[in-house]
Amino acid sequence: MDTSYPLTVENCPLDEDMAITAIDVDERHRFRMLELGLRAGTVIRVVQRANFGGRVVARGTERIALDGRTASRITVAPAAG
Amino acid sequence: MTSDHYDHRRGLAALLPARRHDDHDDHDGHDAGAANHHAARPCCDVGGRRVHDGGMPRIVFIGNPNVGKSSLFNAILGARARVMNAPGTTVLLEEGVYVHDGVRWDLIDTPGTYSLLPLSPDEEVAAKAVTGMDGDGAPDLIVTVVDATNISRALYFLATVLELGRPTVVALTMNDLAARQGARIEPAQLSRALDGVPVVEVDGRTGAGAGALMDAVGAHLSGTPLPHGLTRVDVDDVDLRAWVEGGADARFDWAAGVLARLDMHARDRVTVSDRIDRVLLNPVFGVIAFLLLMLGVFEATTTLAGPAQDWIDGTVRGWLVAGVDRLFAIAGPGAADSWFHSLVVDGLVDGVVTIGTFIPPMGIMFILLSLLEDSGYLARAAFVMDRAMRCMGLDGRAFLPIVIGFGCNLPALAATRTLPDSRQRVLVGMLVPFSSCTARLSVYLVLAYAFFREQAGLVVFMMYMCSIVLILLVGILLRRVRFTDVRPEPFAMSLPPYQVPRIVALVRSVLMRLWGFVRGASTIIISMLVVMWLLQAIPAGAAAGSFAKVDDVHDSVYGVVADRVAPVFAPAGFDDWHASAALMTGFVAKEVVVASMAQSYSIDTGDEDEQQQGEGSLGAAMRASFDESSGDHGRAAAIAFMLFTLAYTPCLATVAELRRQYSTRIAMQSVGLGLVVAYILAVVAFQTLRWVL
Repeated sequence: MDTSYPLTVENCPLDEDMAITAIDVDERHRFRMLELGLRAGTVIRVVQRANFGGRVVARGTERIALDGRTASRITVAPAAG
Repeated sequence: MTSDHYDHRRGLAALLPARRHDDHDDHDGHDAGAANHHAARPCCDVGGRRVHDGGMPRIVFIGNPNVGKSSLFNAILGARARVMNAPGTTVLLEEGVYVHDGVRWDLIDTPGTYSLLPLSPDEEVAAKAVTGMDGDGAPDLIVTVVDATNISRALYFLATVLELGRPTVVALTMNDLAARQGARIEPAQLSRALDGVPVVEVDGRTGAGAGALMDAVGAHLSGTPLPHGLTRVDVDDVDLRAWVEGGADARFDWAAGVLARLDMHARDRVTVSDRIDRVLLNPVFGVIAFLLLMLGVFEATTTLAGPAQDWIDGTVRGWLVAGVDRLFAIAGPGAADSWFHSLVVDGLVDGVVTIGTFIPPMGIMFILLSLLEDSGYLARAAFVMDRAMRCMGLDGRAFLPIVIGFGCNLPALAATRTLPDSRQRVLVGMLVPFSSCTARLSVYLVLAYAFFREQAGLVVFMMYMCSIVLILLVGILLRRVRFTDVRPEPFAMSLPPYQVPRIVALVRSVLMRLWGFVRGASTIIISMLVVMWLLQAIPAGAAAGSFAKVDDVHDSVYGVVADRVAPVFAPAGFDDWHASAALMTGFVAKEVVVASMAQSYSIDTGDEDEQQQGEGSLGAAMRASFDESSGDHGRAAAIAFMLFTLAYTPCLATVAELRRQYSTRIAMQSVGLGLVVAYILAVVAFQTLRWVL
């Protein structure tokens, strides 16, 4: 895997478990992400690619749509196990 | 309570007017802030029911967006629900009185929110209502609507609400969908996991469980337990941000504990909704599907509604007039010639028919909106169009009302209610009138054929291009001047699973919305039409005839006003009373502008279509007038007139709907904005084009 670019929700493979490592948005929106259930350590799966880099992530039975810019600011790593 | 107490208020509380503190605060706050990690206990140890103004317990409904909260609320209240603006805002709240065992409760539905730490005015209204910072005091009971398909996030939100320490009942929605995903939640089990907080399974689409929910509300007004692991907070003496943010981890831990007690694990698998989304959210097919859907909605509100509108305008009007004539015939032989008969037929009947003609497009729009909302697609539409609308700082859902506006502005205004942010709702509501509706097309056609014959098609096309440019420019202007706090926000939205809408709930919702429209718009439409009738009925001079018997409209007060207004349009090239009278009539409805022109020239256009009218005697009369008023630059004046028609107030019904949906102030601002933009546009166009046309 090319490690020169950080793995993000935008560029990570579909349908694979990923753990969020960081969310690089401003503070108030980072907290909103947290309230949506997206925070460091959360295991998610990208289940759909939409236009302009938009992504739908799955967390259990929940589905959360993110615009491309936001998706590119959530860094992830393959989830253990 | 001393004034010192208010000085201690921090966070959101400090920004708000000091709320009333009556006797019930004694039991609200006496143990505020006390840690409660050890035992579940009644957190709302009220000795009896608190009463607010009017003596009614106040029940506030709150929940995340798209969880079926409003459907549930409407299923409970039906036609008794009343939509209103939260005080001092354009945020919509629903309220209504519910009678349970002879006791009246005040039910309030708040905008959907993910948090009590608001990011928008709508979320702020929800947070204030549930915390009691809205000036009405803390609610007597909070109904928290919990989506079974998004249970972990819903539990986090529930934890925040429970920490407020008010009696709380959980309404569990979407459990059927959760069951399909293999994640059904047993209400009794969830209630046990919540240490006794009552949980009632409901289905807002069918109303199932609504009665049981209200029974649970009645049974728990005296208090509900605070579950283990949550700490009660006193909103009067806490920094809201510090409380919400500081306790987030603990709430997630608590939610994880509840899920463990429910024996629920992340049941992660590909769902039917995921499969549908592979098409509807696909980068290419998603946009195509969205545009096709928009085309379908546009066609339905115009083509499909057209025949029904014609039937109401023709046949129903005929029946009503015949009925009125029959009633007047009973009163006596001369009664049908009286001014009162004229008032009833040309004022009241005209008003009723005008409202009636808007019922088909509005009804179709309401049906389609309900289908889009209930099916779960609207949230996807916001996502699909997010990037395109972001350039205007607007939500992706703003695309829908603007497109619909090109059919008819009225259902387009109805569609603005799908926007969750009230500022965007008002901004789009003020942009919709610049969408060139089909009624304006008749004016363009007649003038285009009258002045440009061979290039008529191109001129009409340019009008539509101007409409689009106008929406973009006015949108940018309004964002810079009036809506400076509307800016693109990161898009992060929970997508509800797709559902099949329920017919009964749909019909109920459509009828309620239609009734709301008729009730809200009828007063202003009928009263304005009566005023118009009055102006045309009053003779301007002794030789002009008698009251309601003025043969030439130019001899009425209406004609005098048109004469006085006409010079205003000299810089736009149409300082002509025929034109100003037509524009005044056009304020009521653009459909009657051409008829008003024909009437003012005393030309009977009979069954001529727009092309025949433009190329015939009406067109000739208009060319003569415009050439005279513009110094032989009639074509430039005609373009200016069309641009004015494009940009100023679409119709009286639109003003009534703006007033109903937002406020009188916003309706007036919209009218003013339209007139100013229309005038500037007409003057600039004429002064420029007269050098070449």
